[in-house]
Amino acid sequence: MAIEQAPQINMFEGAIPGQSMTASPDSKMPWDGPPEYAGIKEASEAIFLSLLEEDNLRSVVDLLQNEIPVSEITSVLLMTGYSKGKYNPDLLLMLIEPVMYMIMAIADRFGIENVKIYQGEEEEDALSYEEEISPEDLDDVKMKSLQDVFKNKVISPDLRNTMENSEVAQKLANIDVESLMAKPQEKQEPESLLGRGS
Amino acid sequence: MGLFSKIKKVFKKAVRGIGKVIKKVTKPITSVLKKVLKPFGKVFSKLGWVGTLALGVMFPGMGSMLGSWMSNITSFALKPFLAAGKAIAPNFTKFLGDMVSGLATRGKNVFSSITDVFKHGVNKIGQAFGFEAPVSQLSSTGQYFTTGGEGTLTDSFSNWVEGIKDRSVGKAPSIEAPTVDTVIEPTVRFDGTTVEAPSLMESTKKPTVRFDGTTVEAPLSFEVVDTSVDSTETPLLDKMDETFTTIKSSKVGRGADYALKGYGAYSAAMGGPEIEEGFYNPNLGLANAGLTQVDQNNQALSSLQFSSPVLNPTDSFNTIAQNYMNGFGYAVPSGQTDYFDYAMQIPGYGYTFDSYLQDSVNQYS
Repeated sequence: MAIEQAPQINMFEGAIPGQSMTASPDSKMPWDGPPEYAGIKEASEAIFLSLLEEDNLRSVVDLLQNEIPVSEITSVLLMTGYSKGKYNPDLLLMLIEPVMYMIMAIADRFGIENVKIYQGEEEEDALSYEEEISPEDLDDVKMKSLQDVFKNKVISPDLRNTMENSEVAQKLANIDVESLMAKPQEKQEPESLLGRGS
Repeated sequence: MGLFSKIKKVFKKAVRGIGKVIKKVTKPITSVLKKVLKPFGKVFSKLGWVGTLALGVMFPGMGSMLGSWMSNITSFALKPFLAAGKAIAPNFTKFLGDMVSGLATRGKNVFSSITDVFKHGVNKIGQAFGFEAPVSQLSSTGQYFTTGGEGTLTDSFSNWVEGIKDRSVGKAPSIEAPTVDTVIEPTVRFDGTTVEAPSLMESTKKPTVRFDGTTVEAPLSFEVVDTSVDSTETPLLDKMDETFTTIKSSKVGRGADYALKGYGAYSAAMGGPEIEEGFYNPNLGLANAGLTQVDQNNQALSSLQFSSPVLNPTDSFNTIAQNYMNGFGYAVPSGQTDYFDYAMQIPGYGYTFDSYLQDSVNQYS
C-alpha cells in the first residue's frame, strides 16, 4: 500500500495577511464583485448554450475524443467562468454536477464511447460483482428491472413540450454530428515568393 | 495564497469527488438505460438519457418524475437467477453496496438535482434484498465527497485546512479524560433525612464553621483536588506528550520551533520585559496635582516667586515642600498627602525640588 506523501507546505510563502486590502479598489478582480448569475438554473442554461456553440462544441468533442476526462473539462470550464466573475464560489460548486452531465450528454450525442469521467478511474478497483456474474446476465437483470420501473409510465405533455421546445433541447437535438466530427479542412499554405520566382 | 488559488485547489478535489459518484451511479445502468428509455420518444431518443438528465436541472420536473418512477420498484428481476441456483445474491449485495456508498453523500446542494434521482431506486432495490433504506443508513458515512457539499465554501475551506493539518502534523490521538470514580454520598441531616449532593463539585465543598457554631456552605471553589488520581502518571498527560512529540517532529512543528527560537534571539538582543525601563511621564506630577488640589489661588505670573528667607529654623520638611509648591503657584493638595513626595512630582521647569531643598539648606551653611 502506497504511503500518502505529505503535502509540501511552506509556511513562509504566501501573501501577508491583509495584503489584498492594499490593492487599489480600481484594480478589483472580477470575482470580487457581484456575480453575473445567482441561480443554478440561469447559470447552467447559459453554460449549456455556450457549450453548444459550434466552436466550443468542436473543442469539447475533440477533448473527449482524446480521452480527456469529463472532470478536467468541467474544471477548466467552470474555473474560467468563475475567474470572469460569472458566479460565486458556492454556485461554482453547485454547478459541477450539472456541467459534468452536460459534457457527458454531448459525448452521448456524438456517440463517443469510453468516456472518462475522472482521471485515474481505470486504476480504481474493478467492481467484483461484474467478475462473478457474466455481463450479459447482469444487463438482462438490470434491463428487466428498469423495464418494470418504466412500464406504463408517461411523461406529462406539458413537461414534454417545455423540454422539447427549450432552446437548449433544440440546439442539442439539431447538432450536426457528422459535420462537426469531420476533420476541419487544412488551410492551404500561401505560395512562397521564392516559389513564384522559379 | 490568494482566494483564487484556494478555491482552485478545493474545486479540483470537489470535481474529482463528484466524478467518482457519478461514475458509480451511472456505470451500472448506462448500458441498459438507453434501451429502456427509447420508447419514451423524442425527449429521450434525441437528447439521450444523459442529456435529459442534464436538462433536468433547468426543468426540475423531469428529475423528480424519474425519481418517483424509480421509487416504485416493488420487485426485482433477480429472482429467476436466484431460483436457478446462480451465486448472484452475494455479488449483487456488493453491487448494491457500491451503488449505495457511491450515493452516500451529505451534499444536498450538489447532489439533489440529478444523482439523487437514482437514490429512491437504489433504496427500493436494497429493500428488496432486506436492507432497510440503505442510502439513508449510510448517508452519514459518505466515502467520496463528505466535505463541501452541504455547507458553503467556508465549510469546504475549514475541512480542507483540517485535512491538510492532519496530514502534515499527524492526526492527534483522541484524548480521553481519565474517569474519576468519586462516590457522592448523600448528606445526612441532623433529623436523619438525607440530601443528595447535586453535583460532583458540590459534594466536595467543605462548609465553614463559624465562631457561634453555625456552618456556612463554602462557595464553589476550584481548589478541589482529587487525590485518587496521580497527576504525574495519567494517560491524559501521556497522550499529550505523544501529541507534542508528533507535532514537534513534523514539518510545521519544526517551522514553529525555528520561529520560536528566532523570537527568543530577538528577545535576548532587545531585552526582555523584566529589564525594560519603566514608563515615565514627565507630566504625571502636574496631572496628579490637577486631580488632587482643591483650591487654586489666582496669582499673577510676575508674583510667582519663592519667599525669602526660604527656610526658617523651625520649618519641617513638609513646610519646605509647601513653600516650594506655593513658589510655583500650586495649591496645597487636599487630604492626607505626603507634601514632600508631592513636591518632588511637580515639574520643576528647570528648578526641581531637590535644588530648592539644597538651596534652602545651604543658605545657613
